[in-house]
Amino acid sequence: MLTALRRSVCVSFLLFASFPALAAPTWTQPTPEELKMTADPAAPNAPAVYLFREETVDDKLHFHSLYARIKVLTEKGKDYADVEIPYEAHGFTIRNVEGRTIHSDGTIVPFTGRPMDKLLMKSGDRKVMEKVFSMPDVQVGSIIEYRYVLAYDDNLLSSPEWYVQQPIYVHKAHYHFIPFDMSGSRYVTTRDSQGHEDVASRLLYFQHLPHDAKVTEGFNGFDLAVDDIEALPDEPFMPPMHSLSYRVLFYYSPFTDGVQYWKTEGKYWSKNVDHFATPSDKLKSAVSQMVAPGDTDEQKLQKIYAAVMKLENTSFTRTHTAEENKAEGLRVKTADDIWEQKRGYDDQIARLFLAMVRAAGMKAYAMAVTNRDESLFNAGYLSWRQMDDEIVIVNAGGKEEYFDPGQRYCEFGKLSWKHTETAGIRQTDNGTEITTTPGLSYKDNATRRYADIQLDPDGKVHGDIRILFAGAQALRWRHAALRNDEEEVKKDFEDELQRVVPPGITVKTDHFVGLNDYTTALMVMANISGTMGTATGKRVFLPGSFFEAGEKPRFPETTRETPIDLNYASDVADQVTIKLPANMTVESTPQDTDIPVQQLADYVEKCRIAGNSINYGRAMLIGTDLFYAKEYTTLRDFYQKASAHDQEPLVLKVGPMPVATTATTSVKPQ
Amino acid sequence: MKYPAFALPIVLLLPFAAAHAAPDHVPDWVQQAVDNPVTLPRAEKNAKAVYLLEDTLLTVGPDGHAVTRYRAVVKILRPQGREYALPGVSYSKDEKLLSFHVWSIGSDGHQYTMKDKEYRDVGEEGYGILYNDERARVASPPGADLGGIVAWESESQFPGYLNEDMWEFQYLIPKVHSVYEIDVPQGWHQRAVWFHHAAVQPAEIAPGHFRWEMRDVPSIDVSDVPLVPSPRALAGRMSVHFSASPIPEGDALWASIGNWYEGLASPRTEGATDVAASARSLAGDSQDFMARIAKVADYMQQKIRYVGIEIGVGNLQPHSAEDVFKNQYGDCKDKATLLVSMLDAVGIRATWVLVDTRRGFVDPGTPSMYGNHAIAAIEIPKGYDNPRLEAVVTAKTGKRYLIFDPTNAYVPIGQLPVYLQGGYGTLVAGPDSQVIELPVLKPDLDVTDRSAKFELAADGTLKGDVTVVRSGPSSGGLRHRLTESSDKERTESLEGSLRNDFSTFTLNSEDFKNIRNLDQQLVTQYDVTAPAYAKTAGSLLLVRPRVIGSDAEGLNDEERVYPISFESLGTWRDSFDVKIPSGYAVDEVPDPVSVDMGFATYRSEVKAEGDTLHYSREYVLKKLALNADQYAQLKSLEGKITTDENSTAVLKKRE
Repeated sequence: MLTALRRSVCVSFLLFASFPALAAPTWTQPTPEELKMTADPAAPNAPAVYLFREETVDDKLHFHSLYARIKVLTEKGKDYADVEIPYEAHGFTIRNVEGRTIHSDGTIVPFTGRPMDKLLMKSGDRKVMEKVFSMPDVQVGSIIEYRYVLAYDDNLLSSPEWYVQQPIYVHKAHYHFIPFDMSGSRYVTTRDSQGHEDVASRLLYFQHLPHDAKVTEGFNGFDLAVDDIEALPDEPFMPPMHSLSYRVLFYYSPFTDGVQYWKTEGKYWSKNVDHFATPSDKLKSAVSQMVAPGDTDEQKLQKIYAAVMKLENTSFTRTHTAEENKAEGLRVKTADDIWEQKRGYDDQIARLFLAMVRAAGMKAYAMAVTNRDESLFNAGYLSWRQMDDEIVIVNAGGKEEYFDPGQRYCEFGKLSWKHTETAGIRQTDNGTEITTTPGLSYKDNATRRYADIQLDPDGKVHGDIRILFAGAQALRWRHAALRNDEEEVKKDFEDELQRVVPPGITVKTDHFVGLNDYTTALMVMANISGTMGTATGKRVFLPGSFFEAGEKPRFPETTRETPIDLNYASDVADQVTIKLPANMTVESTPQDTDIPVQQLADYVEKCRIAGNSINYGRAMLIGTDLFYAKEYTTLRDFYQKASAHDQEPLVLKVGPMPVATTATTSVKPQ
Repeated sequence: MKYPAFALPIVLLLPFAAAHAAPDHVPDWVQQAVDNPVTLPRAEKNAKAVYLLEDTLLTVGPDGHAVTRYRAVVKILRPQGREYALPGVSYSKDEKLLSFHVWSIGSDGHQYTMKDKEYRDVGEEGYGILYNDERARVASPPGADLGGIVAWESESQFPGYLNEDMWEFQYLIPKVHSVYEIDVPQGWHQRAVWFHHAAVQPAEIAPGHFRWEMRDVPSIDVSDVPLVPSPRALAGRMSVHFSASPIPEGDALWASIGNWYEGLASPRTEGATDVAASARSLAGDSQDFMARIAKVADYMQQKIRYVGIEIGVGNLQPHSAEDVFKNQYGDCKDKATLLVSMLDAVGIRATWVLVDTRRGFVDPGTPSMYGNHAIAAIEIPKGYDNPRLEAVVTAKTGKRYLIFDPTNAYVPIGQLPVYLQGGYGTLVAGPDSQVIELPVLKPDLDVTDRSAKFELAADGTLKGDVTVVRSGPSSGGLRHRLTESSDKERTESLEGSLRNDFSTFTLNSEDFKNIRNLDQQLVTQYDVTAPAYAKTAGSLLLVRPRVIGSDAEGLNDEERVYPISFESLGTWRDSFDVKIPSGYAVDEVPDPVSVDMGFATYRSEVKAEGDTLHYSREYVLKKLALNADQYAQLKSLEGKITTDENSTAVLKKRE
């Protein structure tokens, strides 16, 4: 990201309110049911559950407090006895740590230990600490009960972010927030992620809650009570579900609502972008030298894109320090500087592309997106921190095209998969708006795998492999080559391929073609050797699918709660030729197979015999990147059937080696 | 647990102040290291980076306080070598950091000097350690890229409670020049002991100032090497002991180390009346030694939670048994201390054994107090015997000890976790302290039995019941995972492992028995259906008789340089019956396999008996470690196992 300052709020008048002497709170008497509970029907697989959780925030008195009652149900649940609370050291302290452990027989063990402050990180003026303590005598069946207060300086405010959904089930929770009183002569200044300071006049909040829960606002602030909140899901191939967790987020804001927030913040961002991406005379001159007067918009774009792709993208190599830039006499204020120094990080390079396209006379817009591999954009969450990367939209010939120049070696006119089908803010002719990026087709992510294998009479094999990648896989390996050297990438590729080819086969990567050329498919050439398949006295059994022989079924779990995120649609096709020795003939081959899943996926496999060769073709097409949880059974069934078919063997009959019919000339040593 | 703050607190971030102008020149010692021509041997052609110089000087003052000065110069040879060019130094309350400086030279030759404000401090994390006071000052120097040079120098206090330093002259990347110096006051003594390297005589360059030097030290590169010992157990190193008193050698030095530790730890066992009362209550009326220690051991394993809190000397000295008992938590040395205290209360003598979980790191020829774990040795009464006493050593005093790891909650007393077997440790026994070899349990004490009865349908569907019975220390890892898993996670874990055996399957039911009952075998039972298990090929039905489980190790074809290290000895047995569908007869079965490599035996057989195909095999591993030159033998064995595991039986439709 070009700018990533954190949301900050300061009270402009020094307030002389001191931290209050809170009345000693009482503990909760556990019920007999809570004490004897050994498992929780509401959360059958939970290691522990929150019986109750309370967060209270008082921005008038400058403190947050947390109170937790946790029932430990399994050995794993004992982990909740160790409490670690990170906090910023400057202006914040953790105080009043109290706790107790209650055994299932009702015995109470008070926490009498000393909470300790552990350094997490200190850099410049920033220091992040962690208050740690461990509850005493925690056993399976114990109830852990603790509370603490996070207090902060009088000139600071900290509006709460209530993450209602927790890693474990919550039976009951209560949240309360008393905001700072912004009436009269008191006012709050905020600084947004663009660095703009403003006076906050309102308190806004975003809520994503179960349908029966709602934040209520009363004389004494905001209140929320919730019951029976499921634990955060955790499944393989899951989209970034944390973005969808139940939460309430408060903001002191100069804005009236989210619409105004995004409009104003978008305006600031857009202004920054336009300032950086000014199509200066220098850039115009550079562009005029790389494009010809008669070039179409598409041709101009291709040439500009090619020029930008040549620059070092430090997001994939190494961030150069300010000292280095200074030593080299470099500074970065605009796209001119990036062009001049021939390097920049991802967003700087995206903005340079934007500037050059504009310099070429085309309409172009920046778009800030949320990376789909990490989180999902939420317009209700009023934070520019959601924006990860920038891409560029160009109006070429009246049609808008999307480019990802910040992702070095991304194909022309395509986006990295993490920037597809995600939302963000884009520039428009009239300002900015929230929009969604286009997706990739399975055709954009094609992989073609070829193997030419010679089987020797003794069962040994040798041969060549050629693999062509387009789209996501090509970009992945090209980025790997930017971060490491080619030798390392060859080895990594080898290791990855080794895991899927039949046992007994050794793969050696020979070379890559097009590792630095995004305009062509990335080609990998490899050699194989070793043994393949198994034998009995009369027969040899070869794996029917060379490239999937070692692959495991993708979805072994029978149940599913969350959608399945395969990241991108894909199209993988194999062609394998196995040349047989003279003493072997084909007894049987796997039957031709087609396993279609309407509109979503298809698997096709065919095998043909030609002379002493077996030619085998396999294609797996996944037409979408995201499957609903209700489609899991279908998807699992598809992969299992495909996998089962991939394991179908080729059966060869073994006979005696035919006697040579032509005389051979032997050469005797002289 | 990681507990998130309510909201990340809010402060204004201040930009770094502009660096003040200062001449950027690297010190002479850096320039000299850079100027020396370097030619790496062919074996190091893949080195990611190289230490051009590493230089440690330990200066011991007359009052015993010591200061370490450390210097390093690293050259980046490949892009991924940047990870070795990250200067850093650890410090703590007892290891105060006195100075830290970093320089670098870009590939363009530009020289940089980093400023103090450009460094970061980070807390150090350790597994299970809730708190320790160790921190590190780290830097990300400019120009740290391919061809670049990074150099740093630190000075820090040497912990006052230590009188041994370690020179690790061999590392994951090669070192062109490595130097270690110690400067001791007049009348003081030093003694160096060597690990994986012949002793090198120091030069006494001034009175009491000794200097060791190494050139062209090869790297220890274990990346992608299967069955390899820990790099720390392979790399050459020197431990230097220093003292105002004469330093003994050999066994006497081991005794001195153990005696010193006893002085540190022993007081921590005393004066805890609650502990004693609890121990007596646990032991009850039983007079049987094994029964008494088992009760206390079970308490340690089931009740005392692992939590590490280490401050200063606390990384060596345990908390008091009283505190550990009160909190019901502690780290390894705390647990061992509470055990010693509790057993003492019931009249059983026990003590500490200082060990390292990286087998081979502690070496009997290299007396040293360095290690990463503490366990217990329980003295066995003279003449007492019990079949459960498997992990027993006899000290030079003639006393027998049961070696027990109270931190491991999943290996019962009497046995020893696999990561400790075959290693060495310091038996802490006052003047009788000594280095001991930790027991290696015989293969028949660590057994996995897989048995199953399946029925095969004509369409290739296989259905059946599987029972896996595990006994011995190897089951500890699985017991641990199962204990920490929910029912759902256990099911998913089993489904995950069945991916290795079936391309399509349904797990119909599963059950795990005796997960925490360490005295009993761990039993896994499940019922699985695998459609299309047998493959149809014309009139043939092809079946893999080895239906589940694998004993094969993944080896590669690279030249073997390092010794081979197995996790544990053991016996693995399979017995599977597959009832073949009516209308089919067995046409071919794989040949039997029988291999005896000395260090391991493997036998496997497929028999057709009536309408049943019976597969049986037994794999016995008899040695924990092999020399590198035995790799070819191991590969041969593994090749045969892999072939056997994938072999096919052919069923043919009756005419």
